[in-house]
Amino acid sequence: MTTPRLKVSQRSRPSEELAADRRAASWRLRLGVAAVVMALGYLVPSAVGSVSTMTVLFNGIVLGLMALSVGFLLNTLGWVTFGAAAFSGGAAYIFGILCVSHGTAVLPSAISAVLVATVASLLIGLIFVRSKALVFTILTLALGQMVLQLVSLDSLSNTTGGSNGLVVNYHGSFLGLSSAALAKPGQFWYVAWTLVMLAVIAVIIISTSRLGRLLRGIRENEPRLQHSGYDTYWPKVLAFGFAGLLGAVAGVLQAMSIAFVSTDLLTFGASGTAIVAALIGGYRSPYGPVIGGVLLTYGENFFGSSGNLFLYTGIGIVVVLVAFPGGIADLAGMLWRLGVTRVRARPAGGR
Amino acid sequence: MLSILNALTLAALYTLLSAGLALIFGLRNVMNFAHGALYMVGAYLGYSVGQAIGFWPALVIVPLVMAAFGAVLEYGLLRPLAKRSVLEMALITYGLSLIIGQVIIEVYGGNTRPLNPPAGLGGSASIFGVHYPTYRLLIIGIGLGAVFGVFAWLRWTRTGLFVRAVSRDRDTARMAGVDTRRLGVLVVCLSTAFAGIAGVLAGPYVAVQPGMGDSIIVISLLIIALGGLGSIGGAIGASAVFAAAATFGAQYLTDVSALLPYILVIAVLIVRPQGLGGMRQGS
Repeated sequence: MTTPRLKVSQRSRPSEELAADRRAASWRLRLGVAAVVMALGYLVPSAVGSVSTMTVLFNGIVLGLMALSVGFLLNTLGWVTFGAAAFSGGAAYIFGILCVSHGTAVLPSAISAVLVATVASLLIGLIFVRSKALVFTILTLALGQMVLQLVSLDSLSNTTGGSNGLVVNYHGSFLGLSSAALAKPGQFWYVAWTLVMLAVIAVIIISTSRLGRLLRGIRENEPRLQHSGYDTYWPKVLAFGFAGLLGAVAGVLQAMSIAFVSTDLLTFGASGTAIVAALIGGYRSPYGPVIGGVLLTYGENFFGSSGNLFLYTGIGIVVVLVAFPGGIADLAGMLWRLGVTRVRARPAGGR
Repeated sequence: MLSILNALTLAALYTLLSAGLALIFGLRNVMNFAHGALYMVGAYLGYSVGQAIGFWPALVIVPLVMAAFGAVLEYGLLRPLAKRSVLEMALITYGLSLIIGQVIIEVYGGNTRPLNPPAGLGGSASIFGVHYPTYRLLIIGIGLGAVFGVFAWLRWTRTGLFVRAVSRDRDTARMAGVDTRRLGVLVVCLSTAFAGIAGVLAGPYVAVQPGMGDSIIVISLLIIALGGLGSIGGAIGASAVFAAAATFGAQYLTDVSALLPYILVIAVLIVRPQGLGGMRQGS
């Protein structure tokens, strides 16, 4: 009985190795591309002269980072979260409260805020990821509203500032940037861009890793993976925790740059905007949400006075979801793959 | 007593909206994120029609207009996309809510429109020994009346039986010969008409303004999740829970009780994903 099995495995090994080689090659290619994009990004502040454009770009990539957290869950697990603001806004508030009420310096405040929000996200993940996709969405919706209510409580308004929000006064400097420099998007850009690109690279690494394949497997058919002996619980918890980490970093960056936190950061609309950015840019690519964040922020700025942005983004979402479920980046990816498969298909066809 | 009546007023609005949401979810398997926007459209239409010919005609005309809007929604969006996943439809209807919200701002501007209760209902009535605004009693009456009407329709009529059957198990119901497409139109129209009634009633009660849909859609979605997606009875019960927590909690307990409904929703969904009154497993 062992002989046929041996034969099968011998025959399948070369193709498996081939697949592994191809994966490794594409992995190196994607990391190389990311490194080039990252390097080019550092040239942006010197290339862009106007402060207003720089502000749009800065806010865009920060929103993009939040959208990346939403898009990551959507892409790997097929989960929609309407509670992204709970982690980004929550971390922003922790940062603000540490700075204001406890007089903690900027850097330790920022690091603790991200840590607390990430740990919270892991702990919440322990409970939430047991649910199916639709129930998960409702749970995140409830979580988002709960955090908003918590911050708005009258009894906590001495700490949180209630509906007036909280003006954040900095103590000390952040990686050599004074509080005045943090308010200038041209100077803060380098830190934000580094963090955003690190997040993009982390998403690339995770999605090409074993964990990423497991997560996609869970998205496609969780019971089957369970029957095959895979643990599906911890990968989901890790994914949720990772999404919380990305959201937390985005929230703290935002709070730092405008030196102000308010309940606007925690609303249903704030979570919705992150989803919109991920959908507009395309959540299947790690760059998509970041592009979407910049496009949306640009649109907000461009349509500012007439306020028609949400009319167009609404139409955009409906059209994109109805016609191309993967967004702009997916469209580009589709065209790219079409080209690549054509080139690859030629020798195979000649055989 | 006063807070019970306040809770009932709020519960009446919540049930009107969440019953509509539950119906649409049961029949069409759509988490309609645009429902809050439809409610807002109802409120603005109620404002316009109310200014032009009066509150009472508005209470009849607006639901009819909204029912027509529901038919457009059904034929234009829900039916062609019937094969899409429930999450995709949630996102699409969310996009739709952004469009509707912006169109309203285009037409009416972003200002709050104050609205007075109709003539004769501006005063207060004495009920159970307390003086209570008459208009709010009207909300309670119409809101709860309409919802219990639907409840009775579902419970004791043949069509209602079909709707319940489809909500519970679409495929089996279709195999048994239920025309789900015709029921779909009926239910979507009913659902949007209810959003219209809620909007018209809410006009003089809360301010008519562009953000009114956003704040109530989240609560309504959580209500139907707590009550059991697709369950009307569950939606009525869960509305009462949310309304009670919003009115009693702040008055008799600390304001931390504002968090209670959310904690309850999370706890219930974890222990019983199908909600309190749900029969179908959430998918």
